[in-house]
Amino acid sequence: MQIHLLTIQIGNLHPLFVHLPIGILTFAFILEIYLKIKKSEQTDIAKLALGLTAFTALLSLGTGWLLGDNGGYDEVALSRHKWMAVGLTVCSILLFILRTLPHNWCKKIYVPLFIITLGLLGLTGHLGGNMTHGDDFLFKQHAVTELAIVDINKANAYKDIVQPILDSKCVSCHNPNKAKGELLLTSKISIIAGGENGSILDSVNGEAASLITRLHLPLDDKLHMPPKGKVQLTSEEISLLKWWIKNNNCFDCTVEETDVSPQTKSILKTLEKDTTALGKLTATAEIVPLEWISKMNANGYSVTPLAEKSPLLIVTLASKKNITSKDFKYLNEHAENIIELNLAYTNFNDDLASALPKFKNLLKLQLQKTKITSAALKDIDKLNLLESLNLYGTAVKSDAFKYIKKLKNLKKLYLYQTAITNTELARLKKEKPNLITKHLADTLFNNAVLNNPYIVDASDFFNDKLDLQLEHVFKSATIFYTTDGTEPDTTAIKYTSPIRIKESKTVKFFAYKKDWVQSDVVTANIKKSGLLLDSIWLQKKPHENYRGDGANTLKDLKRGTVNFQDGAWLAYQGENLNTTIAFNEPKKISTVSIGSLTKPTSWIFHPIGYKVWVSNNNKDFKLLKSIKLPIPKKYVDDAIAFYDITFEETEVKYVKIEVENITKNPVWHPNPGGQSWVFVDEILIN
Amino acid sequence: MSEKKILEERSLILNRRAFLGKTALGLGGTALASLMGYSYFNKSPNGVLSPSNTIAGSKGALNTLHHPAKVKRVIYLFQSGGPSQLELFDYKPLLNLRRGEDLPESIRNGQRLTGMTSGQDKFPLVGSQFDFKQYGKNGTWISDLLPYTAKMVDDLCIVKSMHTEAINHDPAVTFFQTGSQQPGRPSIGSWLSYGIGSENDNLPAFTVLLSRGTGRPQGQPLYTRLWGNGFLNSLHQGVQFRAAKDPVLYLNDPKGTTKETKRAVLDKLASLNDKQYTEFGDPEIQSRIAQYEMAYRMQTSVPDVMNIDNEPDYIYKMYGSDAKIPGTFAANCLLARKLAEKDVRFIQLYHMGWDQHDNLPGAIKKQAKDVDQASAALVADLKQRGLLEDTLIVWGGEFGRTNYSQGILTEDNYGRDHHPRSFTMWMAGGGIKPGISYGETDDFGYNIVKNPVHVHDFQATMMHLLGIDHKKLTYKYQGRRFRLTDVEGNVIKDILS
Repeated sequence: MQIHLLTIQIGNLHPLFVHLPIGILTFAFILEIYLKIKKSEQTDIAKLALGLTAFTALLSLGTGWLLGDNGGYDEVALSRHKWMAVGLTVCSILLFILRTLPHNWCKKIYVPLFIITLGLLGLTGHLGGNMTHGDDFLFKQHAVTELAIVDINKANAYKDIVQPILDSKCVSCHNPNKAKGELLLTSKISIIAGGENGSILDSVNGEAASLITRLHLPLDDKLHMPPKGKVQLTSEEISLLKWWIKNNNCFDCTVEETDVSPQTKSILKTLEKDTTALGKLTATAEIVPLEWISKMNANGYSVTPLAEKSPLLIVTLASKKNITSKDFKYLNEHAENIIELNLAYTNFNDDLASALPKFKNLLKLQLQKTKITSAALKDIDKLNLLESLNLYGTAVKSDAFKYIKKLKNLKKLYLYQTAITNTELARLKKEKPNLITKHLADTLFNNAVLNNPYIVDASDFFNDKLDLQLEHVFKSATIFYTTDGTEPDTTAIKYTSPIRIKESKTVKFFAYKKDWVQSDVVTANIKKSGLLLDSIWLQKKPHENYRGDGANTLKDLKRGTVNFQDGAWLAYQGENLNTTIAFNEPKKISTVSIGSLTKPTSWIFHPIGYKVWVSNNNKDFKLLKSIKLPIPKKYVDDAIAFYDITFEETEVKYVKIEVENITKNPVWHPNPGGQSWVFVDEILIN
Repeated sequence: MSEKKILEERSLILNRRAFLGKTALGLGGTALASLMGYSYFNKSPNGVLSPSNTIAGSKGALNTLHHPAKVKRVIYLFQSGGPSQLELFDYKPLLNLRRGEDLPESIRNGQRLTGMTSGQDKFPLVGSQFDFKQYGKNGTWISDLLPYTAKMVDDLCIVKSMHTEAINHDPAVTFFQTGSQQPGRPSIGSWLSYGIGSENDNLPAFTVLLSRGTGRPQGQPLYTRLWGNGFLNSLHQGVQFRAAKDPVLYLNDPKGTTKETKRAVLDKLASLNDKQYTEFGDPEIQSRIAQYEMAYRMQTSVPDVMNIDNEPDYIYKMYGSDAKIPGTFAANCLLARKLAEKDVRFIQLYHMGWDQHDNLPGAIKKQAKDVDQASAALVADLKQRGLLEDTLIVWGGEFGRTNYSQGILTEDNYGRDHHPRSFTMWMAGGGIKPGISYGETDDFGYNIVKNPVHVHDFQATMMHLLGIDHKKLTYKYQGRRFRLTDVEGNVIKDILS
C-alpha cells in the first residue's frame, strides 16, 4: 500500500520531468550548429548537454511509466506514447555514446540520428500533451460558442442544457482518452453507466446523487469535483444540474415538461439566444475605436459605451447649447453603433432632422422640448428598430401619425404637452394597439385638495385694533371668512383687504379655487391683550429647563409654540403654578385668560383647574372664582389654547392665580401615573 | 489613518507623479501601465476627474459600465423614522382579530427589542386602524391612508420582505445609505458619483433634499454624514439643496462682486492651489479646485432648477398644493423631477417624522398625507415625460414597526416600536417589474416567510439596475477594498423585468 502510494506520488512528477529532455535536447542541437559555424573544437559542452538529455529522458520515462500504470488513460494513446518515449530515450542515449566515441562512422550517423531523435521528441511530446489536455486541444476552434437555444421551453433538458455544462467543466477528464474514475460524461449511455463508484445519478441512503454531492464538498476535499485547480462550476450551473437530477435526470424531456422553480427558470432564460433588437445589434455591430469615443467626449459630446465590451453607444447632446449639422457629421462616422440618441431640450429642429435617418439602429430617440414640428418625423420610418420615441413638449401635431405609424417596433410614444388630443390618440391606438401612447389616466389627480390659507404676520394679541391679513399659496385662490363664529361657505364674506378687528374675535376662513377641492376651515382666536400687567411674580421657581424670562414670560405678549423648548413657556412638573399680579392703580376686571399647552407624548397636559383671588392690599385675598375641569379621557392632539375665566366686574389692585396641574399622567397614557407637566405662556386680564 | 501613514501615501503619489510625469521614463511608464491593465492616467488615485483625463466617455472611476444599465438615475424617497408597514402596505387582518392578545413567544422568537419596549411585560397585538382595499391589476392591498399611491400601484413593485440588522435609527439609516452600521463609509450617491460620475457638468451628481413631516414634527434628526463621501474624495459628497433664499449655502458671491472678478479670483486661486499640489501631492487640493469650479457653475444652474414658479396649475394638482410651499416633501418631489430632467445621477430626499412610538394613528394619518400624493405624482409625472423608463424611484424607511403596541393599547390609540425583521419598501421605474408584490411575512406581520430581501440585496439590485456589478465597484482604503455591499448582497433577479 505504502509503495503504491509512493509510486503515485513519483508518477505525478512526470509532467515536471518531461520538459527537461525536450529543452535540453533542443539546446544541444542549437549548440551543435553553433559550434559548427564557429568551427570550434570545444565538444565538452555538447557532450554534457547530450548526457543531461539522456539522463532526464530516463527520468521522464520512469516517472511516466508509473503514472501510466496508475490508470485513467486511454490504452491506445498510452501505449503509443509509452513506446515512442522508450524509442526516444534509447535514441538520446545512443546520441550521447556516438558523440563521445572518436570513430569516423560515428560522425556519419550522428547527424541523421539527431534529426530522427528530434522528430521522435516532437511526436512523443504531442501525444503526451493530447493525453493531458484532450485530443483537440491544439487545433480546437476557439470560436465563441453561440447560444443556439431560441425557445428555452422547447429545449431538450439533457442535450441542450446539461451536456453543454458537462462538456465545458467535466469532460476534459472524463472522456474516452482519460476516463478518470472510469467515468465518462460524454453521452447518455456512459452517464447512466456511471464510474468505479457506481451510478452518479442515483441517490444513496437519501443523499443526493453523487453528481451533485461531489460538487458541494469542500474544495480541499479529495472527492470534490472538479478537482481543486480546475475551473469550477458556477452556482447557476450547479442549480441547473440539480434541477435536472430532481426531474429524474430526464434525458428526453423538454424544459416545459419538467418541474421548474422560478429561480431556475430565470437561470434557464439566460441560456436563450438574445433575439431582441439589442441582442442582435450587439452580436453584429463592429467595435468603435476608443480613440474616437475619447475624441468625441473631449469635444463636448457625451458618448458612452453601453457596457463593457459592448460595441453599442449611447449619445446625448442634451447639454449642448447649440446643435448644428456639423455635430451630426461627426456622429455619422459611427452612426450605426448608436442605439440611443438624446437631443432633449436643445435647439434641434426640422432642418437638422434630415440627419436622423443615418442613425438606423436607434432604439430610443429623445426629442422632448425641442423645436421640431411634425415635418421632422417624415423620414422617421428609416429608423425601423425604434422602440421608444419621446416628443413631449414639442409642436408635433396629429399629422405626424402617418409617419409614426410606419414604425413597426415602436412600443412607447410620449406626447405629453403637445397639441394632440385624447380622441386623436385613441384613433392612433386603434391602428397600433401595442403602442403605449397614453401613460396616465386623466382622472388620476382629480380630487386635489387645496391647502389651508393662513394669517400673515400672525401677532397673537392686539391692544386696541388689528388688521388681519389672510393669504394663500395660490394668489389665484379666493378666501371666504366669517367673524361671528359661524362656519363659512362660499356665501360668506369674500376676503379682499385686511380685516379690521377691535374686539377679541373668532375668525373662520377657507380657500377656494376652481377645479380644486376647497381647503379646510381654519379657525383663529384673536385676543385683545387688555390691561397692561404692571408687575408679576411667581410663588415658586419654574423648572429650570423651562423658565423663560421668569415671571415676565407670562406678560410679554409672546405666544409659545408646540415646540415647548422655545423659551416662551414656564413649566412645572407635578405641581401647580401660582402667580400674583399687581396693578399700579386699581383696575376694573372681568376676564382672566390663561394660555396653556397640551402635548401628551411629552407628558404635558392642559390645566385641570383654575383659581382666581383678588385683593386690594396684597394681604386679604378673596376667592373670586374656582373652576374644575374634567381629566381628558383619551389621547388629544398637541395644541395650544387659551382658557377664559369670566366673573362679575370687580375693581382690584392684586390678582392671585392658581393653575392646577393634572400632576399624574392619565390611565390611558403610555406611562400612566408619570409626573406630568403644566405649561403656561401668557396671562391676559381684561 | 495615522499621520505618518498619510504622509507616506502622499509621498507615494508624489513619487508616482515624478516617475511618470517628470522624467524621461514617463512614456515607458505609460506603456507599462497600460500593459498591466492599469489606468493611472485617466484618474488620480482618489478618483478626481477632470475633462482632460477621462477616457472613452467615462465620467467616473469605472471605464465602462459592467453591463447595460436599465436606469440612468435614482430618486430615493427616504422615509426617515421607520414607517409602519402594517398601516400602509402589509395587510394583516389577523392582528385585528387577535387585538390585545399577547404576542406569542413562538413568533417573537427571541428578537431583541429596543430599550423603549424591552421593559414592557405585555406585548399586545394590534392591527391597523385603517382599512385596506385591493387596487390595480393584481389586486394589491393598500391602506386607505395612501389613496394616490393606490392609484399608481400598477407601476410599483412593492417589496414586503425587507429586513435589516440595525434596530435604532442612526445605525439603521447609516446601514441603508452606506452599507455599514458604523459611520465612515461613503453614501450610495457618493459611490455612484465616484463610480460613474455625473451626466450634467453644471450640477453635482449627488443632491439631497430634506423635509420635516407633520406626523412627528420634532422627530429624529438627520446628520450630514448620511450623505457624506466617507473615504472617497470629498468631491463625491452629497450637496444639500435647502428650501431658503440660498438653496445651497455659501454659493452666492458677496455683494459687489462681478462675474469677472470672481473668475479672476478663481483662476488665481487655482494656480496657487496647483502649485501647492505639485509640492505636497495632497489629492484634496485637486478636489478643492474642482469644487470651486463646480460652485461657480452652480451659481447659475441652481437658481434655475430651484425655481418652480413657472410650473402650471395642473402640476400642482398632481403634487398637491403643498408643493407651493418650499421645504415640504411635495415641493421636494417636484424639485426631484426637475433635477432628474437635468440628469442628476442620485437625488436623495429625506422625509422625517415616521418614528411613531405613541399616538401612531393620529400621527401616521398626517404623515401619510404629507407623502402620498407627491410620491404618486412623481411616478406619474416622470412617466408622462418618458423619464420613468430610465429612472429608478425608491420609497422606504430604515426599518419597520412592531405588530404589538408600545405602551398601553387603548380603544383608539396605540404606538409601535422599531422592527427590523420585516418591513415594506416600493420601487418603480426602469428595469423593475411593475405592478407586483414581492416577498411575504407571516400572518402576524412579524417574520418573513418568503423571499427575504436584505439591505445589501436592495443595494446590489439598485447598483445592478445602474449597470454596475456591486462586487466590482470597490475602493481601496487602509489596505482593504471596500464596497457598498460590504461582503454580501445578491441582486434580486425576480423583481427585474
